[in-house]
Amino acid sequence: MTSQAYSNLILELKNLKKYFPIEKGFFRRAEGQVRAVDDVSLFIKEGETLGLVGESGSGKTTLGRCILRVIEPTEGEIYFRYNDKPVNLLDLDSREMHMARRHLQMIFQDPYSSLDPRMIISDIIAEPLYANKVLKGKKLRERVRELVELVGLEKTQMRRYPHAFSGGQRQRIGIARALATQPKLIIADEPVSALDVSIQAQILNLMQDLQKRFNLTYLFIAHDLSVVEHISDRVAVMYVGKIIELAETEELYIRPKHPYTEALLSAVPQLDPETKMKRIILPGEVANPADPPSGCYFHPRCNYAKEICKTDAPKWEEVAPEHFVVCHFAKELTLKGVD
Amino acid sequence: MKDYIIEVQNLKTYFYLDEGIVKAVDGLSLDIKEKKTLGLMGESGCGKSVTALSILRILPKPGKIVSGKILLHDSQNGSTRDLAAMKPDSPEIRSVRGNEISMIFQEPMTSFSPVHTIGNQILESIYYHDTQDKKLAMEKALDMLHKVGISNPEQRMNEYPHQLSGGLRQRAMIAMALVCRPKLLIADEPTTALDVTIQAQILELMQGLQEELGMAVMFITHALGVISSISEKVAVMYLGRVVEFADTKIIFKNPQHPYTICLLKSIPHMGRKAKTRLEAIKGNVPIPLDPLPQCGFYARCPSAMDGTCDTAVPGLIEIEQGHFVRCFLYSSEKEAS
Repeated sequence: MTSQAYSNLILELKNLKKYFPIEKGFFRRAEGQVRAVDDVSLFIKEGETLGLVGESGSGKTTLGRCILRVIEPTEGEIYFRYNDKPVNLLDLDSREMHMARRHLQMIFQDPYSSLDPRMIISDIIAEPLYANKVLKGKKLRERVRELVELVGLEKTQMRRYPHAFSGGQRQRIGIARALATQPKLIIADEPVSALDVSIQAQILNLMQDLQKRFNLTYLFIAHDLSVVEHISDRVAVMYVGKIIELAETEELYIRPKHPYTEALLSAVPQLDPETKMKRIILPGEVANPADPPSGCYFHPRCNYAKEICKTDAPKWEEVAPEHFVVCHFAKELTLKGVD
Repeated sequence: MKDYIIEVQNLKTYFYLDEGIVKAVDGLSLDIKEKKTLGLMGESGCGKSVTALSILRILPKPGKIVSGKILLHDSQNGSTRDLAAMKPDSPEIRSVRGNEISMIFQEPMTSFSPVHTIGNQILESIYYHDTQDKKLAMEKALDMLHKVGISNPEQRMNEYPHQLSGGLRQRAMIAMALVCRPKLLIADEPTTALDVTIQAQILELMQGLQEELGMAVMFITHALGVISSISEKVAVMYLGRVVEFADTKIIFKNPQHPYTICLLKSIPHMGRKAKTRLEAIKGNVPIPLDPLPQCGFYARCPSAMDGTCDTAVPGLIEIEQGHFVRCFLYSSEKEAS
């Protein structure tokens, strides 16, 4: 991928890999590897939202955590631009990484388990500021109050514990905590999938407002394709540890180039009972990343698979401007997207 | 009322807690015709699952059916039984459970027994309801597993739930529910825990089996897209009551209750221009702990009328043929308490 063409990159991943060893027996012999993230390269522009979709087990969450080095990647480079120069996060020692994390924050999926039940809300939100030694004393308290109001909670609720809040309110607390250190990039790992539909809209709106206001960049990880379409500027589709398609949202949804993307889009239940889309039923389940199929990982489930797909792994190519696909027949197939 | 399989009339299920009474289901009425699918839609906490558990009489403790009727019709001999009047541990209700009405749960991992094989769990209900003949029971179980698309059923019979993947487990769950050929299947969020491609497989499977076995389905979910693709009629629930009830097409094309309208506006539609703003509903779903005698949606409703909506519960009114709405915007009729 030629990334030099874009000047305003905030994050760039180059050949990022995370292999988990499968250990067996008393001596913990490595019996094999789970290729959770397998040679992923992508970039995120400043101020945009990159949606990352895929089924469970496709490595979305591992990828998100590798960027923060919560999970240490096996190989690759992560260039993150802060203080106006790109830095490879994997070259940093733990103290420097600590400093860099101030600019990189995360919002978690489950608002019930991601907040410490023994801390009051104001302490939860203050912790990143305190831990990073950004603020203390009166200024810290003022900033926390500001954050609480920013995400739409009441000042009077600051001294309560997480159990006193509903799912949507907890997710607001999680967002306030992520925003505390004024980060540039926020990795949102399924931030709305645990919420009810009416609350989901509130949180999505809040995230969009905050993005506009603070020029935030989001890596938005989700499995719900309609939510991803709604919030993302560009979308990457992941399958068994690899990014198989990446394009601008509209381009990807209207003109998908990978058979997997086509099937995913057709599987989303449509709201309008009259426009029943022809569901493409994929046979079988997501491949096992510990023992992936030969050639193209998707070939056992693919309706268009030919001989070459079983033997040769397809290459990452740009089929249209900024539309990248990994498929042997990306240029030949005419696939159906969303009308 | 000939071709109805089940009619629920003014069902009230309350949970008696120290803090007060949680009115989980508060005057719910609905009916399902034979071989049809009813979608029961609502957010968490609106009483969808409690309705299902009430019908099968498997409510967890402090929960109690306070009043109402659950009429199960038998078209073959024309008899009608009231499930709400049966004792929860009586032989009569036991002969209904898993036989005439069965249920699929959301999380197949927690609803299977982890210490029994899939085969034993399926055979159990055959032995109880159908036949004691081991060979015949085995044949029936294998046949069902085959029908739900499990390859190599002989081997799967001897496996434990943890050995199956999510999609396979849900298929095994469906096999277990359908093995006695129920007339009504209650599916409580059967695809919520699954990925979209697996969800598509399961929905396709359920529709095929419904046609083949000729059963009615009550499909409970909060996913509006799933409801629109699978059901003929939709009941929208809010705070223990049905607030709108109509054909699926009407609900999605011409919704009348403010809650349904808001709900449809608040979710992102596929294929719509991205980066628009969603119209969120303010506030949260309240907990029905000692609720006030007012419309449940009053506090969140954009067209709430002070002095009207906060003084009484509106009645469920038929505003056009087969389209019921519970809202004071359309009629001033109040719910009899």
